[in-house]
Amino acid sequence: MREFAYVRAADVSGAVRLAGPRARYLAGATNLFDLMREEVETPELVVDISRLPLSAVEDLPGGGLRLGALARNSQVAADDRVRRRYPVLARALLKGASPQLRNRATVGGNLLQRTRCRYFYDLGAPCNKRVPGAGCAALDGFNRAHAVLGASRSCVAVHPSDMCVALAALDATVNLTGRDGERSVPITDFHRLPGETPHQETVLREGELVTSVDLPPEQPGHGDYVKVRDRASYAFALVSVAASLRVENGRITRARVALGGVAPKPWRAYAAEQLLAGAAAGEAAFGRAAEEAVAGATPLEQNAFKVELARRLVRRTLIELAGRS
Amino acid sequence: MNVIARGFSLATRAMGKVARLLPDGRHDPLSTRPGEIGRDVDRLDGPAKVSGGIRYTADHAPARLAYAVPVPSAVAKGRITAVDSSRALAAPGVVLVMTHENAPPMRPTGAYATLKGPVAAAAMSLPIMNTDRVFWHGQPVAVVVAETQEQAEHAARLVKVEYAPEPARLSMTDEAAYTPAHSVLEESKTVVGDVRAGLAGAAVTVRGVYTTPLEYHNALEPHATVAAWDGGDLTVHDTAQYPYGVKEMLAKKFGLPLSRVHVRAPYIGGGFGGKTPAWPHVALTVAAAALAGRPVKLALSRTHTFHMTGGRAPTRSSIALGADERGRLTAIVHDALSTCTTDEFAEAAIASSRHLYACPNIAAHQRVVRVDRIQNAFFRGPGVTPGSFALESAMDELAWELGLDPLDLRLRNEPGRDPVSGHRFTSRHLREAYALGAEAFRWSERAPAPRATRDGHWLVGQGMAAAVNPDTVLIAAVKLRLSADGTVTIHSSTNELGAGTSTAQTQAAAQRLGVPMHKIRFLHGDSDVAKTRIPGASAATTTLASAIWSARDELVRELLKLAEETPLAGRRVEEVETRDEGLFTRDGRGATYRRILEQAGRDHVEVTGKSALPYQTIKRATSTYGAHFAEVRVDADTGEVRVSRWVGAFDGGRIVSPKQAVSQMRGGIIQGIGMALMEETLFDERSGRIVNASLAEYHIPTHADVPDIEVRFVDLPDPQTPLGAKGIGELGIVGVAAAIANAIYHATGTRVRDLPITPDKLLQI
Amino acid sequence: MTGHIPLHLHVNGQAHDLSLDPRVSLLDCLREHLNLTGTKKGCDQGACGACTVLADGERINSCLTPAVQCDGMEIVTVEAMAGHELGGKVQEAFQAHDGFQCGYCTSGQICSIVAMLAEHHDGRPSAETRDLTAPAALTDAEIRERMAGNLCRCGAYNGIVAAVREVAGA
Repeated sequence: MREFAYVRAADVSGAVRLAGPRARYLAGATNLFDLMREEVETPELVVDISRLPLSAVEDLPGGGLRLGALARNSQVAADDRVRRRYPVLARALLKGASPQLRNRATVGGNLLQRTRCRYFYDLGAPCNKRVPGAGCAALDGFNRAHAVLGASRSCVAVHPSDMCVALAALDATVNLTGRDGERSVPITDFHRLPGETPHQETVLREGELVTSVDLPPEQPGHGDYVKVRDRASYAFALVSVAASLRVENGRITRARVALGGVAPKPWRAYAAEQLLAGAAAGEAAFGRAAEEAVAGATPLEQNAFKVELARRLVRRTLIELAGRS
Repeated sequence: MNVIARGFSLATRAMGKVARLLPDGRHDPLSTRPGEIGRDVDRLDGPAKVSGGIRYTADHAPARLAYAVPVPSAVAKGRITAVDSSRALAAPGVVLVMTHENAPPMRPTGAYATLKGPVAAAAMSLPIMNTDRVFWHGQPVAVVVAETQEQAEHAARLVKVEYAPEPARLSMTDEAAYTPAHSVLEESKTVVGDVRAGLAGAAVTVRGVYTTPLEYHNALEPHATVAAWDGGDLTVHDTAQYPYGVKEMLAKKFGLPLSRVHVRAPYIGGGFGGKTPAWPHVALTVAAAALAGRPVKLALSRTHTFHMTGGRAPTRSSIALGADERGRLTAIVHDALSTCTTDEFAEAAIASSRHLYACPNIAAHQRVVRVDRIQNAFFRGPGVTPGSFALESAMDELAWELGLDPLDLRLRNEPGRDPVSGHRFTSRHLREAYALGAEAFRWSERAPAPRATRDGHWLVGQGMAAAVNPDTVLIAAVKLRLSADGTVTIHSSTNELGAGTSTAQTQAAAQRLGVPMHKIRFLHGDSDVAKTRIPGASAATTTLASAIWSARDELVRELLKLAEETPLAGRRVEEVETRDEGLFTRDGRGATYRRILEQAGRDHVEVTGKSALPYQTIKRATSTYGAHFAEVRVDADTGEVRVSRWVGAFDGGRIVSPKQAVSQMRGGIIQGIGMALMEETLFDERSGRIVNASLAEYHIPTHADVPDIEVRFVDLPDPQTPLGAKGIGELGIVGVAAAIANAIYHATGTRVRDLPITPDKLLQI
Repeated sequence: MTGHIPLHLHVNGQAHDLSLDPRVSLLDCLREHLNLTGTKKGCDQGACGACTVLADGERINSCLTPAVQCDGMEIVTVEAMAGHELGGKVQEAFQAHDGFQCGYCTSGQICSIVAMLAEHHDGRPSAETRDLTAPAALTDAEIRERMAGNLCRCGAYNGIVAAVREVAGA
């Protein structure tokens, strides 16, 4: 780990003032400290925000819920309101990492979690995300775990978060504070696709700080988060699905489908949702939606299975959710 | 001849010494006697282990300690053309940077794994850091020593090394394969009968190619060395499974007399063979301590354990089996391919095919490819573990072809003698193991057809596999000290890896000497006690028991000399028994140890005991056996596999310490579950890099991957071995992967022949 | 601007005033600066759980926690478990059920169990919990999922689960 200066921020505005181009905010540390040890991240200044008063989970007027950026994953997953109103989020959080990591990892940190592509971690391998223009070792290397949707020739790494997939399905909003004041960004616009600039992963501006995430009011229906991985627990997703479904009189009146493990960002399957809206709830519609969810997939040499797996997982999840209606 | 014994006797002959042999027909009287042996006992090191009280290697911090971090090479083969240490040296806290330009000379030694003398523990014969040559990607090419771990880690990244790369061989291909002079503990090429005729005349044949990937031990404790020079003496704490071998290696490398090198390794945080050879960092730590003039600790990072220590070589097995219409094998053909390095360590994937089934026609052929990699290592059941995946999968396929129950097929092929050598067995109770396991598992209730049982979206199936693993007694000596208060201390140079050696030996010694367990202390891990060659091979229990048996005889001899004033006067060794804390004749006359020492005015008596290879185990075949019965649930949509039920039944001779033996078998089975379902090192053949050098991406089983595992032992003494016991440390893993693959076939109708069986392989796309 | 950072730590009931390089993890702080070597380094990557300690009662991976972030916190390690009501019971149950072999993951397992039982007592759910709106019974599947962050390569999992069962059932 490179040497760095460490300061503890006293308040949000102080933190934002401190954070220059070579600075990083430190919250739960579970991802950043690891990347710093590998010297993938080499900040000169570390602004510790872990003691800022941003850890509350609060009801919003109108029925939504605000998750403080420093709320711990375990805290959010155990929150009664989240469990009752947003079970898809509770389940996604509980399927991520381990209990110990969830006790440290925060909402904001999870949004900014960086890819687990091992070539990104390995300073000896070319990686456009780490060193723009260096090339991508995964394109023709070990890419079983990599993206089948939304990737580019520059970068095929996937976003590793479970939480964000649920947030995408929930139409959450990310609240930010920067030098120029506050703004809000829909979760689905928060992460960027790699294109030619895979090192730019989010729309965050320099020094901008995630302060909270807002969940819109609970929608009637049923939601779930399902995750397939290489072992029973404590592993990143091969494919995951966050979905919710409202069925009235046999017709689907509202559907949300998001995929994890398949793309450089939490992947909302809008086209699949459109197919579902208004359709008769049944295997035919769910099958079509599953096809649509992976339409345009461009698998690499080792990860074609993800397309089929995602298709099956979407279909099965929708069938199960319809069964609960 | 017992295969393992041959391997090790080769090594012993190379040293100009002949192993002691127990005379023909001498049975260990303890092997059938009840007592401490066979009793469930809590681990004696338990209180210390549950309270954080054990000092493992990296926990040692001598005064003025400095911290070392190695720099891995960035190419797989070539020459170092320049090293620029200036930035590292300028970084805060850096004490020195050691490279091939300033490292002290270290004499090359033979590689342990080749089992050609000299039998030091060195993993490789290559002159690491005394040459500008690079032999593999990740080879230590510099070592940075600094005041703190953090400083050393950062400075290691500042060392700039330039290379003239050369083309490296990184793939296991047929073109480069050759037949090694020796495979580990097996003949490389065996031909019995005529397999072509056996296959041609078979009613049913099956053929398949089975692969296993490069796997890593990943003991939770990473390798570490703490070295301190004191004048001409060198004291090294090391994560060594083979402390005496490390002592020998360091003495040779640094030109020291053996008496000046002290290796301490009482407790190891798991080994599984990965800490049997001493990897280059061990000598490099010692060299760095010499350069720094102060103690140095080098603890490999988890990532560096992948780069700087070896794993289990990948294997590819082509199997052909033939059987007559009644299911009797007419041919076994096993062509196996694996890898090794400059040092020829060929893991014999063919082992099971040579020993498990009666068959008149057997052709087993092990070939290897030399690759530009770090030396591959012993890993729990070297050769036999990956090879048994192939044979036992093929046997399952044969059973389906024949329409026979796979257990029935195996029973029809149970041999009366070793199928290759024709030797009799000292004991073989595999039939009993099959019966025990099948009953506990309720094997007879299994559905006869594949893909017949469904529970929601889970497909449920059962599979089984057999296991064989060689057994041997190796070389060890112990010092036994009887004190005037009647307590006994046994010193040995072996160590406690977690197998329970110290507890089992205390149990056995208590019964051997007739002393209660609480009066015996078994001390371990000091290389200076005696020459002790128990690098693994599941041999600790019987080897140490043999040495303690011999020490007991020496003790009796010494005590009889001292017992002039007791009723024992004039008695011979054979006439007395060690019981009730003393020596007594069969008619009950004798004296306690305390009385003998008191009357002789002695504070203590110390004797040495040496292990001996039972002659019968050389003349005959001695192995351990097992039968695994597995149930799996496979998600029909996603291909995820969960192991839901397990029974393992084993013939390991008499079980000395059942509570820990059960744990050890479970441990092997759990590693086998990992091997079957998730373990794979991603070795990038373009560069020679290991891509997933991390416990986050090299998956080993978690709590959630493991069901309750039932372990049964036949528990019949082998008439020829010390305590009637046989070594079981490795047996548990052998056959596990096949049992799972067979259960998956039963559940799904899909046969997977390439490990690990990850969800993508069961999507049938 | 780089330099050592002062911090005040309570470890196992004892107060320590330290000045540390901010690169020092809580794990290395315990092991190298406070000579509390019972907590183990298995991966230094947050991928094995051997370094688990309690920080203000919560189980965390000390390897991924910068020590300076723990200023003012109460840290409990395996060395204090004998004096801890639940910890002592877990230690005894580990011995009775052979919940360890080499012992290297044991400190982390024990700390993790103590916190896990408290989490369960507080009604926190796990990925195994079917009904998120009600407290879950501590079934074997729940124990295994809740302990999945502590790897054991020797494979003492059955004994560990049995030890948890015993302590939780008592």
